[in-house]
Amino acid sequence: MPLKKMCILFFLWPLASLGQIENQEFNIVFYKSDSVCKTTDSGGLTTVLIEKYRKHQNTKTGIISFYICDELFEYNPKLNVIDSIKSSAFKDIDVFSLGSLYKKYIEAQEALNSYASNTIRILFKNEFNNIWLYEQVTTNLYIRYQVQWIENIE
Amino acid sequence: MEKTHPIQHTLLFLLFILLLSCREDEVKPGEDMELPSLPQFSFQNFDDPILKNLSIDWDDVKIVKSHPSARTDSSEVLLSEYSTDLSGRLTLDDSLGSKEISFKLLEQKSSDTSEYFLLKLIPDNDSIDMSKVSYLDLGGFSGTVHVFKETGELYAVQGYINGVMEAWLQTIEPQDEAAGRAAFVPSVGCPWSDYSCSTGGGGAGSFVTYRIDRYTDWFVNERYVGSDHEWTRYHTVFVPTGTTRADQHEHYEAPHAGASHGSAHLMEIIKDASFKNTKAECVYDKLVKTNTLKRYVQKFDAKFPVAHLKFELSSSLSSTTNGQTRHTPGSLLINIALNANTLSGRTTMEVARTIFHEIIHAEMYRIVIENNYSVSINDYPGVYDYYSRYKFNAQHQQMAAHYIDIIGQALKEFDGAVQSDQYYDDIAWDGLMGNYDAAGNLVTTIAWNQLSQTDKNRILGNISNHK
Repeated sequence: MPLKKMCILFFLWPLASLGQIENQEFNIVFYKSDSVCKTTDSGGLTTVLIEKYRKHQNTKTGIISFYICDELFEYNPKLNVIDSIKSSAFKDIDVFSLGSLYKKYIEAQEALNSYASNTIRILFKNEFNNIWLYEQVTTNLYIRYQVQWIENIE
Repeated sequence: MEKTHPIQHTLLFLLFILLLSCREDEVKPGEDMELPSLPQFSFQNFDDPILKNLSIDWDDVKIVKSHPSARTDSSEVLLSEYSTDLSGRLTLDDSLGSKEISFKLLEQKSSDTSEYFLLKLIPDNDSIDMSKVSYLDLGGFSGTVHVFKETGELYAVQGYINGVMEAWLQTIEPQDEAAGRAAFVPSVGCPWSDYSCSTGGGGAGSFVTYRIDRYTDWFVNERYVGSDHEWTRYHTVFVPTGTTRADQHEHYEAPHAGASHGSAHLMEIIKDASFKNTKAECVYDKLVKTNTLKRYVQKFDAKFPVAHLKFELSSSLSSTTNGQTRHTPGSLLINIALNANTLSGRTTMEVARTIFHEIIHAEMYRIVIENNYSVSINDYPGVYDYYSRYKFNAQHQQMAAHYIDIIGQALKEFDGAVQSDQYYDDIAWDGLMGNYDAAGNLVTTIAWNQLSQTDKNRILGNISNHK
């Protein structure tokens, strides 16, 4: 490959990475289960187990907050799509765990800053704009929410 | 008749099967699932990110019927006023000026069409309880009302004295310099006829458009070396006749007007209705009054205050979370939420520490957002360094390494310095020792790891004893 082309590819790589995560579809299941995840207590480093899946709806705005451990995903009825699928169709969906989604986030950050520069491109989680969250409502039915991964910190 | 190719038949058949399979997956709303109800109105056309994201309380409505006589058409007008989740406080740095402001949504319904206006009510003084003031019954309200159209455009500015509209200014044009504008009574009577309006020929006061310039002042070793102009904004208010110099006080930018003057930045912090009249608001107001908050935010960033900052309480946070800072996608709005479920059981200093901790997060987010997500090593070497080194928890790593003494100093001032510096620094460690990542691994901060076991034990003991 000619050097010039290689240089162009090298510099366009971060843009391609960003486009990839913007367009890639990430499907996550929001289980109604008694699963727990680890967190630290307030004020120290003692490990505390908290409910892994937590859901809260703002009755005034209609916004639904889905927490999976400490990560927050929001469905906003003004911005996002909601539909449903039969359970039979669910088996064909490529599902990501929270850990694998987070790994993608780290990889995308690294790709965006893969060469030395005086500036660092900081990736916010809401730049993953094709995330779908599945909540099973009956044996045969899942509600499918388009959600935004919220950039948040405690 | 034109012949069709067998492949076309096959493709049509496959398309039919595809559509059939899609149809099977569809469920009509209202049959097998319940969709959340959608508000029928939004402020998406507003440029201001705070107003764009405000929520309207459709259940909290006050309705009056307006008489048609004062209007040019003959239709009856139904006016409905809705509460919003926004209120705010206009504060000047020197704490001389501070007033509560509120926002209302006004629906003007005539026949089958509705027109909406956002109202911003700014009282003349801070003695009135703005939570009880309604635009449809302004009672003893004196001050200025800004009327915004659905498009976000400032439609009118109105001046009130004791609930009576004395002046109405409909053409809003920014002035190059502060200038008095003669007030006048609207030529077609009151804008909505149920209002009390002065019937005189004006003279009740005047509109004053003033100019606010934001500068960043640069210092080297405490020596002022220059300023960068950030922005200019204009604000129009109604000033009643008879307002004297004695009622006013001056504000100058420092050091533009000499080192003896205080700064005159206008700060607008938004408080959600959930935050109002709570312990959290009380603590926040104390932080603002003592100036601790602003002074220490300035320490890590010369640009302040934090832009578009909104405080709220949340009941959806887990029991181990004291506070959360989040960025609202597509806006410059940064929300700080404190845990409503645990607030009552926490000491005021714990709450102050959480507020300060979250404000530092908010400021770090602001830096990233205002620099279009690309932070330069020359402008913000600390943020650049920590985001380069840590893909997880960069902000906590930076805070643990560099902001313990700043948070500690702020807590000392807040608490009246009744304990040692060491004690307040120890309390500041709360939330900065480490966190679990998404894979379930505990990641402790480097600064915490570097402490001796004796220091760690003392810190954990002081935090535990303080609760």
